[in-house]
Amino acid sequence: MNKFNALFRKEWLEAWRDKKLVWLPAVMLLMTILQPITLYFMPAILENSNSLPEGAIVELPIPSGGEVLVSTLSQLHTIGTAIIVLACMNVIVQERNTGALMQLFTRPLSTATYIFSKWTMLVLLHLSAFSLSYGVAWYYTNNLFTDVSFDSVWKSFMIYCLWIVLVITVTLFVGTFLRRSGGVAGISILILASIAILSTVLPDTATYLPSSILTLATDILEMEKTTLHTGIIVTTSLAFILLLLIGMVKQFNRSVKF
Amino acid sequence: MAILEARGLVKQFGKHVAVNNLNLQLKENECLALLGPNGAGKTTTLHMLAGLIAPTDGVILSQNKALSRDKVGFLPQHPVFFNWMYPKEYLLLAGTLSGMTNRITKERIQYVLELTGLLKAQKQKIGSFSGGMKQRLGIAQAILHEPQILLLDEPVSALDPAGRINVMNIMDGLKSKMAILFSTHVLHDAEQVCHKALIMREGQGISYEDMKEWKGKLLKERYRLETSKTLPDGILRKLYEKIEVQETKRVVGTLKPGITSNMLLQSCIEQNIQVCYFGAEEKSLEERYMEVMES
Repeated sequence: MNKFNALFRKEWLEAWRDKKLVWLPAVMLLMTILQPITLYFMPAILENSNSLPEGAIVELPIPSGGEVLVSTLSQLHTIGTAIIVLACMNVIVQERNTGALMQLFTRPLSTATYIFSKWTMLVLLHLSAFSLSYGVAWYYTNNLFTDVSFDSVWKSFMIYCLWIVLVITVTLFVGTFLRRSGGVAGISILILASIAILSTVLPDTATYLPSSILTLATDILEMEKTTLHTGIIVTTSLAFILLLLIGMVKQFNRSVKF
Repeated sequence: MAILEARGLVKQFGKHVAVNNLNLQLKENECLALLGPNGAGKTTTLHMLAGLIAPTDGVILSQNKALSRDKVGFLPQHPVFFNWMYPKEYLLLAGTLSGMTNRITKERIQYVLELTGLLKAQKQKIGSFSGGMKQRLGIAQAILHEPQILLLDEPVSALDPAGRINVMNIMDGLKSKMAILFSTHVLHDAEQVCHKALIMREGQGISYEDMKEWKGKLLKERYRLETSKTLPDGILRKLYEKIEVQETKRVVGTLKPGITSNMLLQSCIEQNIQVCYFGAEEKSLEERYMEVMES
């Protein structure tokens, strides 16, 4: 446990000195906050753009608060996923390539401790960044549009957290196989995109898989209820995450670490 | 009893055999140099002993028991740290990973920083360290947990002369406290620090040298003679049994039985040849190394 703590603290210190602790929440915040604000000013933006013919009347239906948060989440689902992958791709690869990893492993240190210290830190960092930005987006949505109930925001938040943890886990998992950060990012995004695409390719199966996390979260925001099987989706997502974690430790144990 | 013993060590990478049936013994407070050309398997051997890679075959023992990692301190060939850390932070992390308590680690950090001459540099981030400083910090982390065995992979190869002397002196001071096994291809360094050497070639230990032994044995037999004039060949043939080096004004070799060094000098004086240098010649490790390599 002491070893885990020491490594865990090291990860935070590194994130602080790298300023990842600053830019990651900032980027996420910017992304989520832009959505309610641009939607609010959309009529004004369109009116002021010169591309419209004279006399055109712009009449946009004002979206409900729930719809605004849905579009925020969808935005996060595409760009946010890519940002999380980019933020995590270097985590193991860099230490392995420089040789710093080898020096750590000359000491009695288990692979699981090493990987979990990184995973836990990344999960906490990203989830706090997400809760901050989602909270701020909710605040603006309530102010600029109609109110969204705390209950549905909370539920959609919890469910969407699963996707974020999944993205981090997949990226770390690929990082234990490949030695190039570009390759790690590419393969991770490929895997995550295939998971997402499943819901259009195999809609029947995908309703039970993590592919439906976004739909589930947006259903809750829009209608406060869902036709999907929440329990099953949560279970398969958690199982998938667990499987990846175990596979990661096994693979990392077997592979040459330097 | 050997504090570190490797029996029949084999390491294969695919079809390539990096280390082939290597036997090695290190007693308490002994210092052993691992010599050999590049690619002889020195680094692979040290990595196996440090527990970084598992041997394909063979056993590594310490006092007839499996070797525990706590007993070993290891300095890789190119020590790499986290550049954004301060030396004390790194050592604290290293100490914790070795299972030391905070209080003891802090005491040891002070001690090892002083020993390696890094006390002044502790306000600097490791990223701004010079190669020599990183090497010394590497030694500091290797001895932090008071290991009984210190493994050093080419500790001085990448350093400038001053840094080399520095590191050699540190190693000299550590010799009395722990057993040291280090690899190098600078034979002169091996000779300075160690009395024993294992010469490797193509993954095999081909010769085990006890330098103390052959230095004592060979001291009296070989003589070097340097003169200001050309030495006549006839005299040399009469007195020297085996001539190893013969240049116009310089000769090294063993004398014939029954002929003393004085007789050699006397014949020079009789011939009116001015002697510039005369002395018993120690056999250097370099010559021995070449001998072994060519055999």
